[in-house]
Amino acid sequence: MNKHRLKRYLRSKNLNPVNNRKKVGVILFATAIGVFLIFAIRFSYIMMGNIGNVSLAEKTAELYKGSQIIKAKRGSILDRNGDPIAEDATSYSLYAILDKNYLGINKKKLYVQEKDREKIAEVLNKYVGLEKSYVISQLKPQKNKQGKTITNVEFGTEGKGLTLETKTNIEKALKKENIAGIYFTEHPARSYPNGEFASYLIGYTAYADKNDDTKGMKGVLCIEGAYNKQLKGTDGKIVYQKDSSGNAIPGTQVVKKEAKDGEDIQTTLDRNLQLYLEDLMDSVEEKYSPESMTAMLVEAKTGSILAATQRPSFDPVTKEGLSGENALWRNLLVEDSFEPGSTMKVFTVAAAIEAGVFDPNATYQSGKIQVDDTQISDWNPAGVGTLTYRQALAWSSNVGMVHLEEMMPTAWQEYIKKFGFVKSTNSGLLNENIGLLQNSTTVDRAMTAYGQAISVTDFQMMQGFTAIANNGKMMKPQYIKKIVKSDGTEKVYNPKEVSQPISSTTANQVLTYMQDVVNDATYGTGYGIFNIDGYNVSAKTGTAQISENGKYLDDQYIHSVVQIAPTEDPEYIMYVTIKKPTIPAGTSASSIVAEISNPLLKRALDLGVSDQ
Amino acid sequence: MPKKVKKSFYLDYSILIPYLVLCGIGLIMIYSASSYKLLVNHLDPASLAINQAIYFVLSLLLITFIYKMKMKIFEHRNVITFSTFVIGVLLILTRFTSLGVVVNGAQGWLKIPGLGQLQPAEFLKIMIIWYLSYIISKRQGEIITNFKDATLRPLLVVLGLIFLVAIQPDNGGAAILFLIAVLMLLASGVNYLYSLIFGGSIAIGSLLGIKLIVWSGGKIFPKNLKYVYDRFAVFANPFLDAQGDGHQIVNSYYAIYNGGLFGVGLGNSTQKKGFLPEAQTDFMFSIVLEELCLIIAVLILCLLLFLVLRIILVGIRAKNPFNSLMCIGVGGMILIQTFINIGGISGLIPLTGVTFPFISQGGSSLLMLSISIGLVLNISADEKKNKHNEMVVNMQEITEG
Repeated sequence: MNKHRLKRYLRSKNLNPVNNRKKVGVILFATAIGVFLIFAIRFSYIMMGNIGNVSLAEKTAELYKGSQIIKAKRGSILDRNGDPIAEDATSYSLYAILDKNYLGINKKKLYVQEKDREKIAEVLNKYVGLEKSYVISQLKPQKNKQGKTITNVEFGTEGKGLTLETKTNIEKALKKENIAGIYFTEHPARSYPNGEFASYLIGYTAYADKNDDTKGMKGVLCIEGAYNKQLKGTDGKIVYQKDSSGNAIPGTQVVKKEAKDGEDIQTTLDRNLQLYLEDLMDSVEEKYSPESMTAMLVEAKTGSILAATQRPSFDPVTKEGLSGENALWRNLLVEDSFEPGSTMKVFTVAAAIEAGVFDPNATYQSGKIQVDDTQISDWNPAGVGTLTYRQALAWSSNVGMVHLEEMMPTAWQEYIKKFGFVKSTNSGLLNENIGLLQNSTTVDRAMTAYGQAISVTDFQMMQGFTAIANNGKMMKPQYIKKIVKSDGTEKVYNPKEVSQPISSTTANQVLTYMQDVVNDATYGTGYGIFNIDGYNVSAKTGTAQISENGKYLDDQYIHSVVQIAPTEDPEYIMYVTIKKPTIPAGTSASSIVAEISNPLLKRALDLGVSDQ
Repeated sequence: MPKKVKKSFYLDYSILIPYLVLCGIGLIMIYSASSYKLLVNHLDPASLAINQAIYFVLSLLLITFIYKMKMKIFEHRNVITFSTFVIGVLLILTRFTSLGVVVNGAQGWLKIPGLGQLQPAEFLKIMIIWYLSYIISKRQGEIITNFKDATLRPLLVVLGLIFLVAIQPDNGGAAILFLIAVLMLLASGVNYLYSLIFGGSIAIGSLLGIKLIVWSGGKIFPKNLKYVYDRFAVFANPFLDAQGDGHQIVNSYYAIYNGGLFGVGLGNSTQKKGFLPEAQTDFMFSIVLEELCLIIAVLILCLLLFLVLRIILVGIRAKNPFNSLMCIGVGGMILIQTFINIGGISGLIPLTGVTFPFISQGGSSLLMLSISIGLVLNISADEKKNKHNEMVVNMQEITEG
């Protein structure tokens, strides 16, 4: 019914064709205006910059503007003479293209051709040491798990980390034979030209991001780790405008931020002495397979470390020694504290002299001494009868030292602090240990006089020894000579006097008594062992008991020595510790220690490396 | 007898001047939009602009020629039959012979030896208007009494021709042709309320249809028409596939955004440098917006609107049904083409690859539009002359009486 009525209504409104058309024309006229109005509104809307929740400003910036990181060069680590210990380098890894569509200009075949496989295998065998059969099998056409043809292949770990030299050699050899298809990718790398070289002092570097070598390197451990911030520098940034294929438009590059290269760290190490020390350590390690060893050679007047190393160690290039069960991951020179044993007696005697209680000619009965409920014995519990206190040092008498401690109970505890024990040396290295002092009982305090019930680090010991060698002035052990910024400005690390625990007279007196250790034929524990031809040497041996699980081990010790030479005007301090060596019959532990300390100290003395 | 008045006296400048200005802007913008890419490809940076200029000169000659002709010729049955036949043959040649050239996936261009390429589908637009104007004007009486019988046969002819375009396949072109045909029927003289309801239904139906297609997720399309759905999906959110199917519309947005209120300056478009494909054709107006700014772009749109309105107005006022239908057809055609182009580049409707009238590069399009303008100018003059003559006759009657 309604339908009919509507139809009727519509019919009633019908006009003649001309007027109907006029109406349609008017409707079209109005529509046109409406449509154009909508366009103007839509354009204005787009112009405002947001389509839905998409910001056109962001999108266009993304589209037109590109940026590129300018890598800062990582600073070098140098020895005292500027020879490189660690520096930035590029490493290369090999790959071969098997894709037959890889053609150059004039359809030149740039992939590995079948006829060349043998020759390529020969070249790679010669320069990289890859098995020929392996290379040939890699170069054959292969399919991956998804069944797709593999277009390029790599050559395992051996094909990676190649030097520029190896790369150039391979390229030359292949070019001569007119062989294509072997290419290299570049990776940032750090070269350590000296190999295993004070590794736990220098540290090593790894990729900052394991999966992306473009992120560069970061330092791990020791100087590389502790000074990573200075070494790495700051990356710069270039911004540019992109064309439609995303490439930089020439002339639009603007350096937004200059790259600032990392700072160079010049260490106090002497390359030749260090290399020599590493050799000596290697040979001793091989012969006597100790659990661990440390050695440090320091300039007496400045505290500068000329050579320092440890075993176990690692190779910063191959990373050998950083994995497996023998991996240490610890810088023994600062991170490890141990009971030093008899080398501590140097400080007991020095403290006694300074405290005015030391009479070199006074005597006591060696062998044993009762302290409260505990009997303390000499290393030879039978003793050697009556000894003077001067002889007590040469013979390394525990009893003598306990007597001295009993003469200055309070003062000795203060001197332990004055010599810098149980305190950080502020080495700046990671995880520095400050050691432990056990002094709650009389027995404990007595034991500290001969280097037990106190644990120390090599750095602390060395720092203490500088007071003896340097007229009573204690110098901070330093391994950095200066840091040079990329703009050339330098920060020089001058020798730093920590304090003066003893007088010059006392120091020289101790040095004189320490000479007895090597010169006293009757009592000197180092007699005939730690002497160095042509030089007066002051020394003190140590055979420290090792406390494990609350008990001292029976037959295993930390054998150590400190040598200061020349006695009359000390230039060098040498300190070596060897833990749990296997000592063959007929060999003394001291002679094993001397196999390291004597040759190195002698070479230093002969060469006069010291700046003084 | 009335004094003979020269035809140029009746020339409608309110149509001619906007046309000339728009074509001029077109030439400048074609040069601006195309020169960079031509240069990069080591071609003459002005080659496309010069090519267009040649077509423009040709267009002016055509307009003059058409304007000089008597309107009677255009209402001659044989002329129309012949023209329609020629267009049909050209369309068949384009689609089914080796003379057809495939551009952007559609075999829509016809190689004419020694002359270049033509797009017959463009000429079909004015042909449909002309053909239907003729038939409908001849059957004005039947339109009211028996609309179906009056329009069925010509409609089938037109649909057949449109089908030849649809199978190129050129969906955008076919859609425009179809809309033109519908408009002609609506303006045929049939009850205007029917027209209003029908036209409104088409508009609302299209909107709902687009929504439905987007919402359906493409399942309603057979595989070989999947690309049609893809266009709709990307239309709904071009940023979903900004590197792929949404690439063009996204870059069109960027161009419009870059232009802002004040524009980046003539010749300074970034988007034409490879970001926005078809910069000098489909996306010409995006470049206009980027370089010349929103305000000038809207002024250009206003000029075009003025032209459209003026043509429609001539149609509304025309006494002769053929003249009236022709003008409404031409005005509607320009409006439809503008709507589909601007709607597409501004993301209001799905992109179809339609050019912007007068300004986009394209010889066939310009020739066809110029022919249309020529016809409209002739009609405008014809109507004015008739009116003038009527007045003169009336005056004579008054004086004689």
